[in-house]
Amino acid sequence: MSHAHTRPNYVAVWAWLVFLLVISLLAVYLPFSQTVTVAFIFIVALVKAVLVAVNFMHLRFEQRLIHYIALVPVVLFIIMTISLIPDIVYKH
Amino acid sequence: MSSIATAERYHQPHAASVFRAGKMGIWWFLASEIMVFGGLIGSYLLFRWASAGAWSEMAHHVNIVIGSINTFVLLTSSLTMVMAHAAIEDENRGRARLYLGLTVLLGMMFMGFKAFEYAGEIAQGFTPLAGTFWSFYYLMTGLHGLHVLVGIIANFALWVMAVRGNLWPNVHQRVEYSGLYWHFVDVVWIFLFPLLYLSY
Repeated sequence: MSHAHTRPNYVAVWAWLVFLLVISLLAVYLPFSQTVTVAFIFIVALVKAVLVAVNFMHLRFEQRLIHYIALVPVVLFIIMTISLIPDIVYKH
Repeated sequence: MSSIATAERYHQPHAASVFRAGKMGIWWFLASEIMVFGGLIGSYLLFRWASAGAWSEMAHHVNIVIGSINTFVLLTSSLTMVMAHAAIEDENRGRARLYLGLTVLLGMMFMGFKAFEYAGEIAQGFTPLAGTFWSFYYLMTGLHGLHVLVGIIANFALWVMAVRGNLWPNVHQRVEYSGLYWHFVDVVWIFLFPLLYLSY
């Protein structure tokens, strides 16, 4: 059959994911402050999640409506978490 | 559009450009799942922030080695899942069977490691009631584990259909939807791993 799109190099994506896993493991043992380390490993996690969503879940080939369906709950999650900061962090 | 026309389009096996209600449905379901795990992850972050370091001591006792191996296993299972989908697109039945089977095996391996890890933690007294960190740990990894189990069952059913030969011809969408769910479960773990294992 003919493909509507060029298939991503899945093995290369997987290799990047494993590389990023190793990087985040190494970061834990480097002598940086906890804030720097935690920020770094969560940025790495975000990159990994985007790699999976864009390539394995084929988001890069999806129409805009699917992008909105995927992104709206992420925005809602961020708003919900930030709006709870006064209640939990400062009154706990 | 009449329902007959919709049905005809839906049963076109490779009509990639046609909007499919099933795909919309699975993404809608995944969106609700983002909110389920998002609620848990958000609560975890806020309570951990509020505890001002008291959790770090508890978080030191998780098994980073098993957590890392399981991350590797799940990432690899995402690769085999997407390879199964690619094999189906290429109408290569043998490879589709192989990769679906591998995905099921890797999922079971993840669950096996997780069970071993739980057993070790409970043996050391780190039960769900051992502190707020452990309550969150068991709730989040437990809910994730249930999702892995559901994915294993779905992929196993697809593998059985592939082996028996009756997976075709409507196979393309089934494997794609099961794959979308499986990759989502992988994405959740990508965040749970640093949250629970690395940020102490």
